[in-house]
Amino acid sequence: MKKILTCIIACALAAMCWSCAEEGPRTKSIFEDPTGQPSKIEQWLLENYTYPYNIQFQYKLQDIESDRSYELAPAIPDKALALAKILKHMFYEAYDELLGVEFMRSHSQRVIHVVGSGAYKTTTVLKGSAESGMKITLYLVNDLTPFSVNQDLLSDWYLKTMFHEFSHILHQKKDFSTAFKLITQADYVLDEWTSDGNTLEIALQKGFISRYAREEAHEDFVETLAFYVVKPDGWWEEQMVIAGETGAALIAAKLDLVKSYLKDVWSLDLDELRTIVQRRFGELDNLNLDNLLK
Amino acid sequence: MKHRLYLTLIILPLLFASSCVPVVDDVFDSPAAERMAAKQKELRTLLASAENGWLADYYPDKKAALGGYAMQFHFYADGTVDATCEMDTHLPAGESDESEYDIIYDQSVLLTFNTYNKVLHFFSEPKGSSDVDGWAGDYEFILMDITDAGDIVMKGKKWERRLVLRRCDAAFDFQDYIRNVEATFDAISGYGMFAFQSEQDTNVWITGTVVDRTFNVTYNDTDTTSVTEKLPYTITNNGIRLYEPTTIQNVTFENFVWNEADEKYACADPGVDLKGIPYFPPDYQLKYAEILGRWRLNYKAYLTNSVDTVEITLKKKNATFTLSCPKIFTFPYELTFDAAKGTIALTSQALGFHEPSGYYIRACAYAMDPSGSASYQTSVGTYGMVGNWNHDEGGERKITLVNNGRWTVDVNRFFGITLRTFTSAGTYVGTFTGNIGGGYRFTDMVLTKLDD
Repeated sequence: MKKILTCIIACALAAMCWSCAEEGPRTKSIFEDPTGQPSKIEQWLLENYTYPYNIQFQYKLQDIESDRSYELAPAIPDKALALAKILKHMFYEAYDELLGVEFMRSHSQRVIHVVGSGAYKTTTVLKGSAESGMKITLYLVNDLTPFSVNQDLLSDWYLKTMFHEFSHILHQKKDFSTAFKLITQADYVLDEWTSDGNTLEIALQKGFISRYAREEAHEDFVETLAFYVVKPDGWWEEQMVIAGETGAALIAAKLDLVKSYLKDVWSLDLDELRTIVQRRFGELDNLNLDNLLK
Repeated sequence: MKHRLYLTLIILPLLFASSCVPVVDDVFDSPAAERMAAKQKELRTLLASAENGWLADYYPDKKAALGGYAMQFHFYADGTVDATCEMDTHLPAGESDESEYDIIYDQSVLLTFNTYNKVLHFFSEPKGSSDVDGWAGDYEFILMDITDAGDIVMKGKKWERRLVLRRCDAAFDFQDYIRNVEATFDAISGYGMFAFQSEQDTNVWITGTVVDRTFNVTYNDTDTTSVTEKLPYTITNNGIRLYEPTTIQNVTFENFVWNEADEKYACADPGVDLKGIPYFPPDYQLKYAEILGRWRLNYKAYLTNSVDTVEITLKKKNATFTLSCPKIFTFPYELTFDAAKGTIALTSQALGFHEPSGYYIRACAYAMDPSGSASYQTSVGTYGMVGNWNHDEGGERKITLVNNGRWTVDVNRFFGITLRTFTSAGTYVGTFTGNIGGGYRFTDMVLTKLDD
């Protein structure tokens, strides 16, 4: 009887397997591509971001990709392309030069979304944001003047954000030591970092390279790294003068831990990366920013 | 018991086997995805099919409180769009900018202007930390309907403002349309209040005060209940069109034509007996044209009584004046005109860049103690003074500039303006010492009309 029962159940289950398979899969998508061939800008982005790095560079504003709590405006395509060229030269190829292309292929954000306007609150303007290591959004692209780019502007608005957000990916994959978190543990202030009392001078004197670094240890870590890489010679030393003996010692201790973390975990020499980035600032004139599609 | 179990196990699979028999007819002819793709294609084709473009009443603002602005869009099959507006945006009125658009599926079929357009995105972008919303306009629009008349009815995705695209025929010329819009504005903008009634009936049905391009209307919903409502509108080539068809006490209306000869609006909707006539409240002061000309200005320069002649000239008809006196003021000032009350106002304002000092100069609202020993100042634009007309008593037409009510300090103070310097970033520096006539504090201003 048991054999009969087993047989019946097996047959019934087998019957259910094909009971709903009336139709085979479609061979052709129902969705038509209305735009046809990619535009010149899209083709450039495919060849320089998607194919080599598997990155989607989105210059057309997609509401679904943006933060709806802000009023935003899309990017001007020429400015978005200029920024794409700058980021490729200053950020992606800097890592490529140091560690080979496979490093960014493996670890970079998969989507770069650029927005024309800033993302404003009444006391702050957001220059960039990142989501779970998958996507980075850069704002204020329409304020970029491709024909008169300078290191300060590029550093403050775009490159620092790129190094900052990318460094979050690295420490999220392999966290840095608690020793870093303990250096100025008592002076992290979370959202209070925007308060009037947290001036840059005070932040430096307490051992933070920026006001934002006081939010919490992970932000402090990536701020220290990003500022060190993008700022020109002499800038760091000027900040240490403002920081005073105590603040400078704390920041120096943090920088040492950042360097050792990158060396030990990612085989990345931060000083070499900084040298490459600084050299590449001097090469921006060769990027044909006045003739974008060449 | 075992037999019952076996029987159940035999019957149960049979029930499953019959569950997939397609006996229910589909409600739709095709799957949702196919229908959505077809709708996207239909809208894309329809938009590009209008060779002379589409006319739209574009309403920015979360509540459409600023009213609407006429825009023309030309959509092309290659995914580009030209946008032109009747008002100055980042481009002068009438100039168009090209950008890209797409028809995507997001909640429903959606039109998105997804690269920057100097005309359209003027309304959607933030102006900075001091104005994070800007005009709060939409740039993504959900398709709601395609009417029998061929109009495309859409709704802004974020702020949900209605957008209707009306096909322009071959003879339509948007530049002509803009000129006529400006002429209509010139004709109607001097009136700040309207009373609406039927052509035959003298009873006022609703009254409306104009604020920007919106009627703030008041009417009795029942015998006892007074209702206020905002009716935003767009100025057309011959009148106005409301944001949407509006029904009040069973009368539905949307379009009005301005009749210059009779100085009234006539409802242009078929079968609707309704007119709007200008209405001047008892405390109305002076019309725009009555304020233009030369005036004597009595004022205190700090504590010293002073007098000079100033000129008030047209800046934007029925909206703003220029007050100038090159002898004493390096920069002219802007006076605003309230058409509903017939009053002028002088409030905090940016004056311009002063090259010799290298600073930007602002006139800041000022409240000074009569002794001159203490004062308040602010660059906030809502603070300042409003004109108080003397009803030509004593045969002289005088306007005294008094506290507009924003100051809540001692009413016995001297109210006026003070000139201050700022950096390009807007950081306050100090007093402006380079004024042509000297001084930087001007209070207790009284204007007396001079013969022109």
